Amino acid sequence: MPQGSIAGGSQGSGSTAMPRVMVHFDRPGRDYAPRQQLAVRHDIEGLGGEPLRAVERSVLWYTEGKGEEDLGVHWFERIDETEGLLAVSPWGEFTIRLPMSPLSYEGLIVKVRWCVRVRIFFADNRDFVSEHVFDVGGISPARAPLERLE
Amino acid sequence: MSLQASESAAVERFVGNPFSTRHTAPGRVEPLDREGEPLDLGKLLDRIAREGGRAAILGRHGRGKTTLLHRLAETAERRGDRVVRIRVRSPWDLIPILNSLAGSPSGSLICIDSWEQLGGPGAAIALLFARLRRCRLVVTAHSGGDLPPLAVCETTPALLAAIVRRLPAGDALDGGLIDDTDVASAFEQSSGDIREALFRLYDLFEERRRGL
Amino acid sequence: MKLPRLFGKKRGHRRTGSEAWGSFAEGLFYSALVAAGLLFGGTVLTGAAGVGWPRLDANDSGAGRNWWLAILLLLIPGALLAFGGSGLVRILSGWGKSQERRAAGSGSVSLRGAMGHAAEEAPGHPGVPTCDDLVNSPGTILRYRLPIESPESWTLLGLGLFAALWNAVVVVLAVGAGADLLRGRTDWLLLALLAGFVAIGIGGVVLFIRMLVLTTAVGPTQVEISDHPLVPGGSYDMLIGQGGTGSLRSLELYLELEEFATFRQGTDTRTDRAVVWREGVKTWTDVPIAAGGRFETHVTLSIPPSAMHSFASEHNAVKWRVVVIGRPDRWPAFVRVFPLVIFPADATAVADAAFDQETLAAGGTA
Repeated sequence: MPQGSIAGGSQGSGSTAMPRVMVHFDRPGRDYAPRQQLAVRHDIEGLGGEPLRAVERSVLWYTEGKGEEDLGVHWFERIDETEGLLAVSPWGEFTIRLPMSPLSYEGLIVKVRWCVRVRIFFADNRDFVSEHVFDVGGISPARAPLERLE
Repeated sequence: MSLQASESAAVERFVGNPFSTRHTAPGRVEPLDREGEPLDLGKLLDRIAREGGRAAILGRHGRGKTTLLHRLAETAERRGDRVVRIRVRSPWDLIPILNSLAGSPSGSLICIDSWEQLGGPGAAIALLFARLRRCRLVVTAHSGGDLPPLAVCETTPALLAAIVRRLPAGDALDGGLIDDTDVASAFEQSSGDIREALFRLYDLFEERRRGL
Repeated sequence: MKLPRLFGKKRGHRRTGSEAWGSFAEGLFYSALVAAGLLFGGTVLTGAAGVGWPRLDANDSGAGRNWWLAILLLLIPGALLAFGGSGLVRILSGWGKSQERRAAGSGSVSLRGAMGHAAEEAPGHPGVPTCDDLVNSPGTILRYRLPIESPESWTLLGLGLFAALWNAVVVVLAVGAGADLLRGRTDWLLLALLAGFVAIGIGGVVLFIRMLVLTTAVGPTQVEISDHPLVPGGSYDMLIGQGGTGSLRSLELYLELEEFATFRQGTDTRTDRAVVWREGVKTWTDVPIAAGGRFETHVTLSIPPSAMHSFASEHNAVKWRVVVIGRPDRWPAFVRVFPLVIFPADATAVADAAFDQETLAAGGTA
């Protein structure tokens, strides 16, 4: 099962800051069991002093492959400037319990991935999103495609 | 909470198949011209106004029409325009189009994918209503018609190669699981249909990643 | 009386449209289709459209010549009436109801489904389809009888309907052509059209009869299971029953995992399927089936401990199924598919095991 993340995000035009979100998982291999506790700390670097409008943190699953992308949000939290953003930035942490399903799955044309997503909103309406994949369930990846019997 | 000094987030590497629809669906890929160079979306939007507020993006299946439409819509939104996106699947979709036109302020940009699915009468009604509502209209279609062409989407091997290089971990594709020969071969086997070519490359990537 | 507002509330640059006016406009549209169908149909039936109906009068000349064209032309107003009528019924039945209430009324409780089919989610198991449709049929010996996927009976019914309707049209055209010939008039266009229709009609009948014989000769396949839903690592008793007459060279039973991915772009909807795992459960050879009886046997179905559970979202799915392949002595092989639902393994047990591992690794005791 691939262990890694997609770091990066979208940038609006005329952006100056190139933020970087570091996410630390409480399990070094980022492998979790269903219903297990997930503890995450995130640090945000490279803001260049630009003021933040809000930060959104979420834990979600999404599909990847040859079909259109589906996703399900398990946990979501938005912290905006009126709720003490400075207290959150440049770092934050949260602990949640993962659900029973779906499990992470490395299929051929359908993959199910879990990730922590941190989205940063700047004061000038730009946003930056960073995704960090982790594994739930330890399911073996699918092998080769087989010929259909029908 | 005790956080272990886990692997640094600085050691981030791409996971997954770069040809999955997550990275290649319309709007995810930057629209490029047939040489693989980025299109000036701002200029294209300005051209819509010069064409009387209506234009069509033309091209055969899988040539990038929907991708260009999505990006034009995004560019217009960033400019502060009100944008409505509609995908037509049958002539009955004239109803939501008319509803959107009725509810949109003057100057809005209505982006309609698969224009010819409306049929002749439906298209004429939609055009008339857009004119009455003073809304701009940009559509995708396989062939011309009453709307002036904004862009004609044609594909080349160079275009596909440029798209592949812009995918996540595109730099790692050279000498990796997929090379330029694979890309050229996929283009040829798909008769220029970029969407089909990307699906072929998806399968090839999966096959090689699994060592088959 | 207060009329519904033409435009709803303003949200920045957006305006929410009025449902009522939208439905009214839609209703007008469908009413126009119905009116067009009635008008067109009326002109065809009364002969005002320039085609007429056959007259038995031997002095018939001119009007009523191409009556068969009238029959074909009636298909157009028929379609307009069908589309317009069904649209009006839909509008009227949903008038004044919220989107959620309409969705609940249609039976699609879940907002997500695979490939456009509303797949209800199992309670407490996000992304896992419920197995209600698979456990509502009790077995005769074991607890549940599994439904068959895409049963051949539907294909047979469809073929039969097509053959019946098509050949009904052929008969009408043939009677008309025969009447014309008796009057000494040869309509070559009609005869050419009739030849094509007859060929297709005969083909339809042949296919239908062939499929009917195959279905009745081979007999139904029945699969029952001791429990449902299944879980990874579990073992289940299965009963396989195969009817028919004669004997089977072989009967093979497989457990399969298949992935489905649907992608929509422009006018294209594409669904890819891939079988990614298969295990042969059991194969029987030289299986005799007594007339009026059936072959029946029990087998143990084991689910791999690390199996992925069944998964369904709006555009993607991972499905388990039992596949039965029979190779009769005198007939072509048949393949019958029975869907299964596999839930994730007991999460409590898995989490406890993970906690124990962590505790042991930290030097504690589990």
